Amino acid sequence: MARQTAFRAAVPAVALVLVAAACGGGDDDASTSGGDGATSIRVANTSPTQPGFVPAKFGVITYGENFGLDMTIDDFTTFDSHAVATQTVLSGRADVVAGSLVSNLLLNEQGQDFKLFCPYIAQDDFVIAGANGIDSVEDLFDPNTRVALDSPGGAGDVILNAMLQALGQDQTAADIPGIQILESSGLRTTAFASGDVDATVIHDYQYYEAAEQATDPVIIASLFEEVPDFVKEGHAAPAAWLEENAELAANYCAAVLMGMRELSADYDAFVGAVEEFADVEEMPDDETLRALHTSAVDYGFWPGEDGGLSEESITFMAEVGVKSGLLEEVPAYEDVVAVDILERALELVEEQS
Amino acid sequence: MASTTKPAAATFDPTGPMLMWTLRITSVIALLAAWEWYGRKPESFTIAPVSEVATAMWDGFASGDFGRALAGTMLTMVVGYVIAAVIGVGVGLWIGVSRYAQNTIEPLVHAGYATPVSLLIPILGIYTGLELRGRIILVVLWCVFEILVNTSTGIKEVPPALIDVGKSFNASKFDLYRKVVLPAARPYIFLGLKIGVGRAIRGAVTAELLLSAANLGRVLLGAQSTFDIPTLLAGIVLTMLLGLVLMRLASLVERRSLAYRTA
Repeated sequence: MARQTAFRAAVPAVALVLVAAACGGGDDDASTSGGDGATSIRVANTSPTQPGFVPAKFGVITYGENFGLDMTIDDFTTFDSHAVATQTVLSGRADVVAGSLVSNLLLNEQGQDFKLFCPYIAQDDFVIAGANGIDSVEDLFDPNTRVALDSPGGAGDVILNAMLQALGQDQTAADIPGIQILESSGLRTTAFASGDVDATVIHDYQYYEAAEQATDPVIIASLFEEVPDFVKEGHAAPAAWLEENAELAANYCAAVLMGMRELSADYDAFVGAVEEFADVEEMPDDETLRALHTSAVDYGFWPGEDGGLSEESITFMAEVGVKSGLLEEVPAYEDVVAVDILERALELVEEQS
Repeated sequence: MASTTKPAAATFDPTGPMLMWTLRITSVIALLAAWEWYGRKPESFTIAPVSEVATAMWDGFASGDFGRALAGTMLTMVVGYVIAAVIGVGVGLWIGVSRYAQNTIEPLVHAGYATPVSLLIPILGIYTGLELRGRIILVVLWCVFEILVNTSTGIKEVPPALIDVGKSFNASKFDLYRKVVLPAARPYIFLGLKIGVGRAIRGAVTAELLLSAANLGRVLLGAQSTFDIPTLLAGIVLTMLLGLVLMRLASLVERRSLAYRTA
């Protein structure tokens, strides 16, 4: 009986060991894209596709064929975490990560040789919103000010630090004494509207929704006005994969850039793309979409003309990462951006235009 | 004349506890070795080697971060659990003995039991705030229905023969409940309270992740967003260990409280 019990005790552990061994056994057969003659790329998105993020999917699905791609919407998989999306690529179940630029720089610094090769979305409509008499960035550092933000390294945190840097502040989000960590911008909007916090970083349409309830609401600063060099998200892939699949990556990026150009020029196409590709429960109203489109065009959310990943902007973003304590140093531009692929994509777009 | 009795048992008993412990320890070592091996593979990004996780755990406690986080999570959990236990046992008793409560309250309880508590978070945020109060209410919601349903079931399951015996001794209604119904329903009540402990831990950590991030939830979110995988895994292991210890304690309390059944 005791022997039986002992064996029973051993079974789960042995099973776990076998599962771990199986997981570590590589995944060669799972990869169906990449390599010679490949026509599709499997993209791991690190967050749901918001309305402003649609040009990439729109471009690939609409113009992919022009660049020899054979991709469908099933080639895009949405995750809720950059780490999980990255693991998916490293395990061979996806080829490319579309996500936060600073997170990609952080990955690179941690020894994962990922390179950016294509933009995803450069800017965003985030604003620093204040209420209850909080109307300047200096007020954020008052011990009595309750400021809602996401975790260090999250999108809101990076955006706030970029705005503080652009506004000449020496302090960062980490120095705000009254900080409350609220991961979702929806929850931050709720807290701002109900008076639970005095300031936060949210989308501007969320600000206008909350402003109806908040006391003395004010936009203290907006990302696209204050930080023209900001690059929010980009496409990145392991350097070895990019080396093997340079032309495929350039074709993919060319389709993305075409999508950005098309949606910048055509509001109706943008509305159609949001309907088809955005992961939203409810379609935003026309006023919200028009405001987003206007900001996107005026402030270069979709850098379809030049690719957006300039040395100046990457260096700026790395400096924000260093100042925030996320990165240890500013990396060399060519170590983190596959410039040749981006330039080739721009050439391909010019050939088509 | 040579003895026919066999010599005393050898030093190794194949059915004894030594084999069991050897296998247990070997299994744990094999598991940790597999974890270390897999974590060291270049393509393993979200599984850090166990040695790095152990170092992160040590650093977390040495800096005081883990201790403070653990204390904060325990506070949320204990306060929420105690409130849930009082409400759950009280209302469960009422449902168990009252036809009125069975017809009015019980359907609502069943609806609440089947509703994922996470769905309530946006509403909770508005009415309870996102700090400690909101987190405690989330813990209460997470475990109250389990305690409540088990208590009412226990009361309803008391054998009628026991109640008849009580009545035959001219027990008052109060004595009938105190000396017959409640003791008979105790196994169910304690089962509900034990399961409630596990749910309270899950509720506390979920609240700390999804409302205003705090304590263990804040440790986990911060580590995730900065790709500090060893600290993330150390936080997860710490949460699991917390659950293990508290569930063991709950089982111990349950066994002690029900010891009269085996006495």
